[in-house]
Amino acid sequence: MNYINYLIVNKDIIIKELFNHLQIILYALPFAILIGVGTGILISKHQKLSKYVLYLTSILMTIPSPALFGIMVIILGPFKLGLGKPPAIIALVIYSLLPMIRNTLSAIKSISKEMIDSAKGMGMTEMQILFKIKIPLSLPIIMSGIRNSIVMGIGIAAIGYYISAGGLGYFIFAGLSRGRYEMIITGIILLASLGMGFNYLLLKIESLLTPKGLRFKN
Amino acid sequence: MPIKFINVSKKFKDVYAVKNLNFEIDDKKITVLIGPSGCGKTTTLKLINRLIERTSGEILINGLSIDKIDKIELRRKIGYVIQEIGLFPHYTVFDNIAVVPKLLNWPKNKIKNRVIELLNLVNLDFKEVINKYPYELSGGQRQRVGVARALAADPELLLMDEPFGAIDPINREILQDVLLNIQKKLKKTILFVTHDIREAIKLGDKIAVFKDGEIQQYDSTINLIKNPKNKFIENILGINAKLNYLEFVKVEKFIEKDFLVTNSISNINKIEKECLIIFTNKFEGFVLKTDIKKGHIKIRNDYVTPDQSVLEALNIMFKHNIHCLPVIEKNNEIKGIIKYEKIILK
Repeated sequence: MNYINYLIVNKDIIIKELFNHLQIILYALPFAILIGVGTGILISKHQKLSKYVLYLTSILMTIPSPALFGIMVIILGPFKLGLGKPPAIIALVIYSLLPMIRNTLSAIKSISKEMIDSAKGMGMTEMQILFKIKIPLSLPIIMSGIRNSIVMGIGIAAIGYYISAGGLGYFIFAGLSRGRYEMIITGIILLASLGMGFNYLLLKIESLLTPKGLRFKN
Repeated sequence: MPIKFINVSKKFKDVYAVKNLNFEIDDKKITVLIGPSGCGKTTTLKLINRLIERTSGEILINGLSIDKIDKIELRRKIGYVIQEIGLFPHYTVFDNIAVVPKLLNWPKNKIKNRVIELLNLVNLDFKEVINKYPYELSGGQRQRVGVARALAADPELLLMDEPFGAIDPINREILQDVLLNIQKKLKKTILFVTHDIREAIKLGDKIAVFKDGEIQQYDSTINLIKNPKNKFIENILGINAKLNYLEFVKVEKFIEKDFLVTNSISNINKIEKECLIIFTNKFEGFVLKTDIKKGHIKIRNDYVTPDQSVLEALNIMFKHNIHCLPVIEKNNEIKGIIKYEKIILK
């Protein structure tokens, strides 16, 4: 009964923090897609460059997430942006880069050279090949990279609590330090359902965006 | 569009992919490039639509250097067919065929009519396939769509890179016949890469044999079979080449005029010509000079049509132990005769 009681009393905070959490993710998303997918497409033509970029992004990913949030605070401190949402959003963008770049690269590379040759041979320009062939054919794999990033980001954004970005991390970390289980459970349930909900939604979008001629593969 | 190669070479790093190519591709004919893998035949093809840029030399199309034509425009004027993998999987049959017309901004109606016309040309039922995706088609159908797509903007030149390589033998024969039929109607300049000598002999007006980036021999199909220049060519041709040739070459190529036409055989004792064809309103039979010489006039009824294969004509000759046959069109028009000694290759 303790638990239900907690929910009823704190419903305003719960909604507020849920909203905060979503805000961090949804702000990070367009930047992450733009930078991640854009970089992936731009470097896909250069074998060596893409190797280095992938290497660099994998290193970024090995930084423990609390540390990355911490680094952001230090870097953004001088600009008076050290605490709050901006460092959390930037950290999230950095974390999303690897799955997005990697999926974009491997999607574009998986298109056979013959198909590109045949498009070229018919007189398509580089731009036409990119927008009419490469991107539509890569879309399913790029989308699954985006989905991975978002679902992962939902968990990582919880750390934003430590740098006063708000979000569902509050219930978990504050709950832990106060020894209040109902808080922790609330946080976990919300995070998990948010993750599952987004995963489901994005899977739907993914299959909608998959060109008809490719759907048989799923 | 005749194409001329002048001293064309392509180097990848230090290795020549093709070296000093000097040859001319005839207008409105099928020229086949054949050779083992890595011999430079595909490279040669791609040099023409500039998917690969040559290192040195000059390629002339209609007497004009290909560098003087915008790359994109050049490619839109050249049909390009590769193995079935070249169809775009996210496009329907219609969209696949309409690629180049759309790039050229044709009006919608014109594109639609053209697609239907082309599907008919490659013997596909347009109602059945037009909205299908490549994965819903059989390999043979896909390749037909590939050929139709290459012909979409009515290019004078077609480049075909082992287009039927991935097709089973039975469908491959059918597709080759489709291609020959199209060629009979449209008279394109076709450059066809294959590693299948049977296909080369069947399709090629001329054949260029490649080895290590150089042309070993470039000649008309018949000359190549008659006079292979070296052991390598003999090996490529194999033991069946002559037989293949007789199987694929049409009677019409051997027609001679060594005959007389008559409507009765009442008083013939001696004729100058090899063969006397009896013809009233239709073909009634023929008499051979040799028969008349022997004194017994025998009226024979056999004949061949111009589009039958020479092998079929030979078969009939062997069966009746004769050395020539009249060639009669299906509408009873006398085309001439075909003689045994002309067919048999040295």
